Amino acid sequence: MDPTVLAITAFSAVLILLALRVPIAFCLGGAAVIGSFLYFAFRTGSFAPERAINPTLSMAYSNSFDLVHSYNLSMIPLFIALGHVAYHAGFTTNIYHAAKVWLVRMRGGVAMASVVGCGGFSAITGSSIACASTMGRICTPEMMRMGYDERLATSSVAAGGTLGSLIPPSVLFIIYGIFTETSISKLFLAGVLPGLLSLCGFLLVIYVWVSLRPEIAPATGTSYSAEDRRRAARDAWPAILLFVVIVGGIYGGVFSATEAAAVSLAIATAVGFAQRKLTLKQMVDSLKETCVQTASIFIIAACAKIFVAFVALTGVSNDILTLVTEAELSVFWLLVAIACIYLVLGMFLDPIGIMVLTLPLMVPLVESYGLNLIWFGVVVIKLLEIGLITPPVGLNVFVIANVVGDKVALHRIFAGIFRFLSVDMIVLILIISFPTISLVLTGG
Amino acid sequence: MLGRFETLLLALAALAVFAMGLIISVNVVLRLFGVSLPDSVVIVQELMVLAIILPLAVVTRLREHVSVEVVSNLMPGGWQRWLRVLGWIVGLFALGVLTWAGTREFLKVWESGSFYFGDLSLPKWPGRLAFAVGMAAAVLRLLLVLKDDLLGVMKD
Repeated sequence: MDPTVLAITAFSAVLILLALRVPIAFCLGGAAVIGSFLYFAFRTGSFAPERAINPTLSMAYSNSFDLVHSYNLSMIPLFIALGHVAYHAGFTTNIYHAAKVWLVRMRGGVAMASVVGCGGFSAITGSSIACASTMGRICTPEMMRMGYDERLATSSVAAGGTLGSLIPPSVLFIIYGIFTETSISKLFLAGVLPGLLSLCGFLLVIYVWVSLRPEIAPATGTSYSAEDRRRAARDAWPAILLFVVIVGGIYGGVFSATEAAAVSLAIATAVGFAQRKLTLKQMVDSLKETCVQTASIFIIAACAKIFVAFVALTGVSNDILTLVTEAELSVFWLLVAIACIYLVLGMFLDPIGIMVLTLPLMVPLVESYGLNLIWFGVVVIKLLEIGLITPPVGLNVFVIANVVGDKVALHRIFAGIFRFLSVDMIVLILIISFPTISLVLTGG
Repeated sequence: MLGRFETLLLALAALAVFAMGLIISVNVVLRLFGVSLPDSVVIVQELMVLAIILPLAVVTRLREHVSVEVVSNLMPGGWQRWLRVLGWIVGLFALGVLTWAGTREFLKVWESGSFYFGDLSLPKWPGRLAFAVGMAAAVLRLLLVLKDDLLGVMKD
């Protein structure tokens, strides 16, 4: 059996099974095992299944076990645990409260505070969907109660939630780092400026939108004293400390990303207990929630690793590489093609699924053009971030829709999202045009 | 019975996450004094297997496996229930193979008495055992979930 045909059939099978709602991990694992079995069975020309069992089992085991048996990847459960602990201790929501107290006097100030809160939440939890889900429960109902337009109240949080993918620590960056074998610390640093750029872009959208249509964000009439503002800023210190420990520690070369995860978790736990905001039960619950979340991410990554090994076995990446080289595609058109692929996939698939499916084919291609994989990682994550709010299946939009129930129709949320999407596209173009934005902090 | 066992596995996984955080943090502090915990990298690697694989059965029980629902949501309810069954069957195959492969590897290292080179010469079997047990528990839970969903489909 021709290995290229086998790989294409396996890819097609995965896509069909995905469409049929088969969990991503099972699609990848099942297709990789059957594909590898057939590859080994037909290796000598004739069908010899008895010769295929051992290598198939060894390949499936070694790739999945090696992935989970990793010191560096312990940062994923540790960062996820940090997010849960910080949430239970109230650190993440304090950022939003501080931003609200400082910005409430401005028109649209609460929407801006929501975006800043999302940025702060992301800087601790590293998950876009968790960010949208948590902040959506707090900010959106509050804005709607204050008479904000439903499009602004929902879309600002849906868009703000995507910041979790770029601002470190980001689970997507870690997974990208695993599959491209690039430095996760450098990826984190590369995400800082593009993340902040996106955050400023979202604030600008709200400012312009509210300036042009003041009725969508009525003045609240609420004001806080200077002492209230100072107190709110002081209350946000644990979150700021954690961000400084993570980014400062990695940038200053004090910690590796894994150590930053462990130390920040230790600090969050100690501060939470010292401030009596974290109970032992909440801590245990946080660890259990962490395990469930981590296992559901890792089983996808483990099965994807088997799939990647199978794809490498067939050599289909080289075939695609030859095809593209023969087409003499310029770097510009290559990037346009890659952006289109990710944007289209982002409309239907979840970010982890897209990465594990595409990276085995994309990375050799990108490397052959001599492009920087750290910078490319930022581009990919930005594209995935855009996919989280692109219709018809913007996951973050659905998360917010679930939070608000039937109070706001889905198309109304998407109606607000387009403004944020346009800024996202501008930021994407800037990141692609000026790689320095991503690479300046990495020293690359 | 399986439910209790899964709860135990989840508790062990939670302990493993806590232990990983503690070991790495202590190592960072000890580095200031020019020392480190012996074989801490190997210990964290072994704990990772516990933290990741042991909760898989609970993930299955909670139906937390990530899937793409955009196409299936357009289908009638009866079809969707069959698609769920299909998902569990594919899962049984994929995780079944990993259970088989994991058990084989565990028995190999157990019989050979393999260990990691290092200060403590830690044995290799605990991580392999956790992998095989976690996968087997997930397969058992998949069978139960499949049975429940199949009965639901039959009733309809």
